[in-house]
Amino acid sequence: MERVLTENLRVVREGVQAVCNNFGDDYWLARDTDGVFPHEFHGAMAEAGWLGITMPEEFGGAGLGVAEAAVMMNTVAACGAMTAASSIHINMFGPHPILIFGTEEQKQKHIPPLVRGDAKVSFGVTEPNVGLDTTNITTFAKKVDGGYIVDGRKIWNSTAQQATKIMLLARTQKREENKDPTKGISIFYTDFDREKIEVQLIHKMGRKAVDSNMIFFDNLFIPDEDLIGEEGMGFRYILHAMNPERVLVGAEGVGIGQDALQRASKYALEREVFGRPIGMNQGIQHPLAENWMELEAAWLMCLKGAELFDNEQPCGAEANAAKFLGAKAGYNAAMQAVMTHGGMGYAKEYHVERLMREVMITRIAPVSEQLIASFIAERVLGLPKSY
Amino acid sequence: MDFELSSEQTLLKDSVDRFVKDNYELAARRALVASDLGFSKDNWDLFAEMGWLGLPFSEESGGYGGSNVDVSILMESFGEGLVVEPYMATVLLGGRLVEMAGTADQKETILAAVIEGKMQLAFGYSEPQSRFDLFDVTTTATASGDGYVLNGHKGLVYHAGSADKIIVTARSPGGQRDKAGISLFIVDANTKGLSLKSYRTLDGQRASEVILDGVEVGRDAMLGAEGQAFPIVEKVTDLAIGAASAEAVGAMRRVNQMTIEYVKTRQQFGSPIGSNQVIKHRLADMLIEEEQSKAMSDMAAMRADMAKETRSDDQVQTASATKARIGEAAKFVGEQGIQLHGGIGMTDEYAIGHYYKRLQTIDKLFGNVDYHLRRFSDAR
Repeated sequence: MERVLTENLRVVREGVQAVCNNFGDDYWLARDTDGVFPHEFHGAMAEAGWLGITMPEEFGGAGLGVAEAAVMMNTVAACGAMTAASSIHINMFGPHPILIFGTEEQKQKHIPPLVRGDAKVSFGVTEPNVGLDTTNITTFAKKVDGGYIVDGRKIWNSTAQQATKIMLLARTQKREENKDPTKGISIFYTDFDREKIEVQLIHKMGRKAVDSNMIFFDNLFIPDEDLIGEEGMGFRYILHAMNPERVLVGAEGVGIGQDALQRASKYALEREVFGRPIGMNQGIQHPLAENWMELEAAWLMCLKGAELFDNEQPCGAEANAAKFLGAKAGYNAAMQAVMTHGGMGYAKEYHVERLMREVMITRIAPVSEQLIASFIAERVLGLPKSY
Repeated sequence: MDFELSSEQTLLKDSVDRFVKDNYELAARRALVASDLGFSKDNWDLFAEMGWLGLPFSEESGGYGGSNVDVSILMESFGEGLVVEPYMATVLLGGRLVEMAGTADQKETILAAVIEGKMQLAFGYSEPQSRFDLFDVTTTATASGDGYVLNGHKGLVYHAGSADKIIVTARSPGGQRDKAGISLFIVDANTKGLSLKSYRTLDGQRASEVILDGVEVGRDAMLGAEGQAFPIVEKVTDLAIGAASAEAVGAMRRVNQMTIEYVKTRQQFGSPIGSNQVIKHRLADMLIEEEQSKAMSDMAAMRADMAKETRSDDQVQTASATKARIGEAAKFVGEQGIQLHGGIGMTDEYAIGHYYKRLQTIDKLFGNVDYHLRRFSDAR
C-alpha cells in the first residue's frame, strides 16, 4: 500500500478539491430539490481537465490510472455525493471499449469531445427483466445495408435526458442461435437520435439531478462506422471496464461516508444535551469510530483493486470487494450520521439525510452484494456456483 | 392467555427454586459432573418425592396431570441451576413416548416405575448420518420368530449410560429418509447385543453411542403401531423443544444476573465497568433477548396446552419458531456474558462459561437455528 500517500495522488486530491470548493452544500441541496443536472459542476470539471483523467494524452486526457481516478471520484463524492459523482463518472471508464477496441478513426472522432465535456454519453446495457443476467438482453440490431436498425428497450440509462451519444449494447444474433450466450452481442457508440429514441424519466430516491431513465428504440438506424470492434464480441468488451467501475463506485461510497462522518462528528461535538456534548456518550462516539475504521479499510481495498488494475494484474475479486465494502461502509456511516443528528438528521438543512439517500445506490449498482458474494465464493474460494 | 402463575404453580416454582439454591452451587454441580454417574441419585429420589417425575403425565397414567406451562416452570428453574439430572431423557422424552404410544401394560409397568424414581429411560432418535432429521433412520428392525432383531447405531443418546431402558427408532420397511416405516422399540439396557460407548458432553451431561448388533426383542418391545412412529416422535420432540427452550430462558436469566453483578463490581479507570454506556447498552440488549425468549417459550407451552384446538402444522411452526429465536438469543446472551466478564469469563472457575456451554448445546439440541428456520418455512 505504498501508494496511499504518493505525491501523484495528493496532487489529484488537491486539484479536484480546488474545483469542488466552489460547489458548496447549498448548490447540491438545490440540485436535489430542482433536479436540474449540475451543468456548472460538470463544466468546471471539464474546464479544469479532470474529465479526461484516464484518457491517453494524445486525445487530450491525462493518461492516469484507476488509482488516480479513484482518488478523484472519492473527492468528488465527498463534495456532492452521487449527484456530483454520476455527472462525470461515465467519463472515467465508459469510453474504454472505444479506446481499446475502436479504430484509430473512432478514437480521434469520439474521445476528445468526451474529454472536453462537449459530448455527453448515456450507457444502455441492462433491460427490464434482465437485471445482471446480461446475456439475456433482447434489444436487437438488425443488419441492413450500410448499418443496423435497432428495436427494443433499455432501463436505468443515466443522463439520457441530456446525452448526445449513446453507448449501446444490443444483440446482433439471437441468444438461442449461438451455443455461447456471451456471443452475438455488439457494442455501438452512436448519436442519441431523439426522433427514434423515446426517453422516460424514472423518479427515484436519490441522485435526483442525474436522471435515470427507461428508453425505447423505434427503428433507430446506426451506421456501420459506429460499431465498436468486431460484431458479436461486445459482451467481452464491456467486461473490460467493469472492474475499474467497481473500484470507483467503492471509492464514491467511501467518499459519501467520509463526508457524512465528518458532519456527524462535528454535530456530536457541538450539540449539547444534559449539559454536555452528545459526543461524550459512548453510544454516540463508538459507532462513529467504527464507521471511520470501516471507511478506512474499504478505502484501502479500493486502492488495492486500483493498483492491481493499473499494474495489469487480475483484480476481479479486489475490485468487487472494493465496491462491496465501500458501499456498505458509506451506507453505514451515512445512516449513523442521520441517527447522530437525531431529529435534525431528518431535516434537509443538515444534509445527512440527502447523503443517506444518495449513498444507497452504491449498494445496489452496478452489481448487487449477493452477486459479489457469489463471485468471491466461486472464483476465490473455489466453491460451486449456486445459481 | 393468563401469564400470572396460579397458586399451585407458584408453589411448584418456589420448591424447584429452593432445590436449585440448596443443591446447585457451582462447586456442588462440578462434583456431580465429575462423579461416575454424572448426576445425583439423591436428587433423583427427591424429584420423585416432590412429584416432579410424574408432573407431565395424566392422572390415568399415574401422573399429576401437569400442563406444559408447569413443565416450563420446572425447566426454567433447572436452567438457572444447570441441573444435570436426566429429567429430559427419562420424563420428557422416554416417559412421554410411552404415555403417548404405549399399551396399557407398557404404561403400567414403565410409567409407574418412572414416576416413583425407580426407572430411568433414554431415547435414541439420531444417527451419525441423520443430522437433525428425525426421519433419517438406518437402524433396522427385522421380524424374526416371535419378535424382532435390531441392528444399527444410535448417536448422542443422552443418559443412555444410566438408563434402565433405551427407546430407539428403527425402520422395518422403506427407504432411509422415509417418514413412513419407522417404529419405536423399548430395549432393556442389559439386552445381549446392545453396547454403549459413553462420554461426557461439553456441557457436563452424559451421552452414549448406542450400538445395536443383532439385538433380539419380543413383540411386546414395540411401542405403538409398526411403521407409524414418526408423528409421535415429532410430537414428543416438539414438546421437548418447548421444555429445552424454557431451560435456556432460565440459563439466560442467570447469565444476565451474574453479568450485571460482575460489571457493578469490576473496577477499571477508577469506576465500575458498568458505568460505561456501551456496557449498559449491551446488557439492555441481553435483557431484551432474554425477554423475547421468555415470551416465545411461554407461547410454545401455552399453545401446546391448547393442542386440541391447534392445527398440526401450527404446532410445528410454533416449536420451530421458538427454537430458532431461542437459539439466536442463547448464543448472543452466552457470548456477551463471557465478553463482558473479559478474560476471567474464559476460566472454568467462573460460572459464566458453564452457562455458555449449556446454551450452546441447547441451540444444537433437536436442531439448530438454521434447521428450524427452514422447518418453519417448509411447514405449510
